[in-house]
Amino acid sequence: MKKRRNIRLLLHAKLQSFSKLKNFRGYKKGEWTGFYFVLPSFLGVIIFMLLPFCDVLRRSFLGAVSGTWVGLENYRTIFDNTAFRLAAGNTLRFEMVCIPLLLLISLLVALVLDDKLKCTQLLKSCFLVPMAIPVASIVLLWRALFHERGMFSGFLHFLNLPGEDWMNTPWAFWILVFSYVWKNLGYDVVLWMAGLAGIPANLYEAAQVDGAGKWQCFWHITLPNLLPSLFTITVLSILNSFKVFREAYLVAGNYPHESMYLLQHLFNNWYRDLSMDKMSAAAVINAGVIFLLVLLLKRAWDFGER
Amino acid sequence: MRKGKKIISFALTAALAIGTLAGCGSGKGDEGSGEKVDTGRENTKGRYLEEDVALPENTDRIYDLVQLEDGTMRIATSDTDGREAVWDLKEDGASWEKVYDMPQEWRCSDSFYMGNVTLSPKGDAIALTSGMLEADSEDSEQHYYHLDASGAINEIPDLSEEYTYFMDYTRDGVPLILRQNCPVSALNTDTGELTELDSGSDIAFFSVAGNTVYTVTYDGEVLSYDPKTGDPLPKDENLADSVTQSGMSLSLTNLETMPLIFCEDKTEENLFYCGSAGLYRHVKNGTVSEMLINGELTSLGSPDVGVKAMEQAEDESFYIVGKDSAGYKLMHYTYSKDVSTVPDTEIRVYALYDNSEIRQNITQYQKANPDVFVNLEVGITEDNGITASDALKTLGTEIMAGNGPDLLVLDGMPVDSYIEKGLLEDVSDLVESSEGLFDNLISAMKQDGKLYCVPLRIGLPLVEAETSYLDKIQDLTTLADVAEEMKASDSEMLVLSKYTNGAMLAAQLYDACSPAWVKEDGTVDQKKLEEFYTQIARIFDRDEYDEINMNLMGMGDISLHDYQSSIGGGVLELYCDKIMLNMGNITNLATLSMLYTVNQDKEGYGFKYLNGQAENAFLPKIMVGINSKSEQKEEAGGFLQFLLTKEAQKADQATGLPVQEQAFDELCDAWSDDGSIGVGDANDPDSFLQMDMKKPDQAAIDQLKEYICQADTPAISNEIIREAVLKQADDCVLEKITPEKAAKEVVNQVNLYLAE
Repeated sequence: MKKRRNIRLLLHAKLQSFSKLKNFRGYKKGEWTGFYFVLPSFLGVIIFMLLPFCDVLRRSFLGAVSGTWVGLENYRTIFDNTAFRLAAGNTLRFEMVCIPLLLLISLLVALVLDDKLKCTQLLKSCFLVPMAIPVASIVLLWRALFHERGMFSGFLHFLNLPGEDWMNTPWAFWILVFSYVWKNLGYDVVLWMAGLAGIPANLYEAAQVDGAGKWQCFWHITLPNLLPSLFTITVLSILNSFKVFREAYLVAGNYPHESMYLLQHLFNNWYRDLSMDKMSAAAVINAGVIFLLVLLLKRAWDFGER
Repeated sequence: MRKGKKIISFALTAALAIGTLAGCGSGKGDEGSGEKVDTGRENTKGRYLEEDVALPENTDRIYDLVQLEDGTMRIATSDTDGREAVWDLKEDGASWEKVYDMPQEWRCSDSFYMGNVTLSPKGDAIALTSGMLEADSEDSEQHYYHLDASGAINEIPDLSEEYTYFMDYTRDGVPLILRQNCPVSALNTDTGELTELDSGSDIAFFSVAGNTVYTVTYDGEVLSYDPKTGDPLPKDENLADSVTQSGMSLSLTNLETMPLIFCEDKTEENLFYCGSAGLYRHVKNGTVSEMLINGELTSLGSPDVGVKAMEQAEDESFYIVGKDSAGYKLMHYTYSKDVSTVPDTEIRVYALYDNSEIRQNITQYQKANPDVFVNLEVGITEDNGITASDALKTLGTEIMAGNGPDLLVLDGMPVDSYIEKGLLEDVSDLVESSEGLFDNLISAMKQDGKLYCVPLRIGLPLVEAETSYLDKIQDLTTLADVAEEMKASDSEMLVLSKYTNGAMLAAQLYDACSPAWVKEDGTVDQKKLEEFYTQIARIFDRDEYDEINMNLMGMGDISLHDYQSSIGGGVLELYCDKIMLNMGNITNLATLSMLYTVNQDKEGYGFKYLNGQAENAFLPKIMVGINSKSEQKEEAGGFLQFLLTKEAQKADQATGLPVQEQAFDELCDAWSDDGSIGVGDANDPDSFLQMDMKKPDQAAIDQLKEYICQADTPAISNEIIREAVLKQADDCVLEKITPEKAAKEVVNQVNLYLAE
């Protein structure tokens, strides 16, 4: 905490001196070196993210092809649009189910692996294998497993139960959830383990000397020290969750079962049909929601820090 | 030193940043943006222009073209009465002088016909005839005749019995022939002796340029030979490469034209070769070939045009004998130094799928307007293999970037969405000023009094059966009643082909029913759809359905629905008493000819307009619209109007029936009756089905025309809805799911699409 306060003071001092600065010659040599290193990626973000997003913002108030000013009409249209409501609802539901599930399972696995098992490295690698499997292969696996005449239906037939085209049933959503958790578990485990490795061992030793048990150590030392990691892992997991569209799209095309019809499906189809107006408005709403979510998480983290 | 490092690091940083911008180009030439031709638009002048040379009156066929030693162009022809003659082109380049009528000694019997004639630069000729000597004989014979410069005819004795495909003369007057499974051979016209060239027997075709023989093997390899010695000449690798790079197909598709022909100039230094990609000059054993005539700007690039013979005149113009769907023609290419090398105006046309009619129309239009280049971009090609969805996204990007095409061929595109966005221009005025269109078809396409897209062709749903059954069919329900009645009859015939699966049956009935499914609010009526599935399940013959055979034929893929929806597929089975009921869309006159043949040869059979759940439905095909953001709306409008003219509508590649009345009439008049079709399993001779097609009489033509005039309800042409409906049909007819569930699945998916 002391270190953070020092950084703030230093930053404050720098800003003050910058405002008083008449020219840059007063600055120490090498002061801008870091900035130069950041500059290319910063330019990339501006050119490929911020400027296009400004254009998206502009287009959200214009007609699709004519470019005429329509005000908030596009926003009104998308909120009246049943496809948007369904996609947004499904996406929200997916996030609400997947993110806590992934964070919890990956934390549990990380804690087990952190217990200095003999085969920690091997298990860690095993958990990372799904990340290395190409999406196309996963899609083939899905089809082989969940097709009407696939392996899962075959197994059910073996038990005298009826098979189904699982990707065209409400189970499709849970298959998507499983796929996301399975694929990203290893990544989150590695992130949690990095967080666990950053906790000083002497804290646990001191607690044990004071008679603390495993649960107390976890609750009073591990969890509070993992909070900074929680923020990063949550944000990364949310961003990764949007990538699950690739599997959903490849396995079921533009129009999957309605339970796994996500915002990306809608955006994809709008783009195909030249509905740039609706797409821009929905993209602004989407970006706004994610931005707010990240801010909330940040605030929660800051609150936890204090 | 530090300063140097700073400069280097800054330069590298700048390079990185600029490098990231490399992806911000216009994207021209990207695979996904379709096939584009680099027009190389510059202000350079000079181009070969094409004109048709008027042929002698009543010419039906051109056998050969040759330039005589004195420079005269000579052709051998036959007229519409089947009389052969040899003609010289007069100096005016526009009229012909008959050299001689070919003697008729060759006509050994009524069944004999002239197979081919080849002309020598020295004035003599060889004629190849085929036929049967006796009327009841089963063996066909070939006879060869030599004609001297005056036309006196002598049969060439003792010639081999192998079937001859191609003949040609060298500049020195040596006749060469290519027989089935044999090498190219030099022919002694006095003795009939053949001297084989060392060319091997895998020759697809050959062409002679000067005194060199160029052969093309079945593998597409171009080789050359000296006809005097019979020895192969050193391989001109650059020629072979240039031919390959030109993109010309070297596959032989018929024996009347060739994919590639050669000729050379008087100096014998320049070789010219010509095919669908255009005409090229190649300096013998040189390193490059030069394109003299771009096939895309002339008739050479038209999909219905094949070439047969070529000569370079003394004024360096070219004469090329070609054949298109209308018949043989002699094209003359003269160099004009005042015309821009590349046409000044470019009209960009975008189509998701390649289309032969449009390509043919483009060639016609460019020929009539040499200053216009119509650039057809095709979204989905065999080469790029992208999906329709990806192609549409690429198109959308280009349109939004202000780089969209001027004219859109809307088949497979979200037409309603484009109309809603204001992407399509109202073309009512342009279309209404076009003459002779079937007004009912045009009116049916209007939305709120405006016409945003116009079909260039249509398909009509018909049903074919015994007239006693046919009279009972009034709608989809009565059709199902009739099908059940047929099943209950004692007939050994099946109701439908045993290969017809649910998707095929749904495809055959889709266009006659789909207009009834759309509710006023634009959503799909689940009840109507349920009714559709209920009735097709009644029509379907589960007991006779042969799923194994169907799968072997690869008919399970719904991407084949265009083929599946045709009525043509079942006519042969109905004709041969295999099935009792046949239905689907008619999209060409060959199918009318087949339907008519059934009516003629099988007593009590007929066909009628199929009213399913909707009445008077039709399927709009090759729908075109003008991009409202185009900067060349006027030029695009001019091309659109041309597409609706009689001339353009007569381009018949079997995609659909014309929407212009005179074109329909003239195509019907021109339809020949000498076709024969057959299908069967090579391992089962008894399975072979055959039909000798008859030319439809006026009553049959009038009947179809009456149906066209009735049509006033366009079927749903949206591919997403079509696919969703066909996808559920298989399970539904096999009773794996109920019609109710099938309809619900479709409505869920389609209404989601419509809600978007």
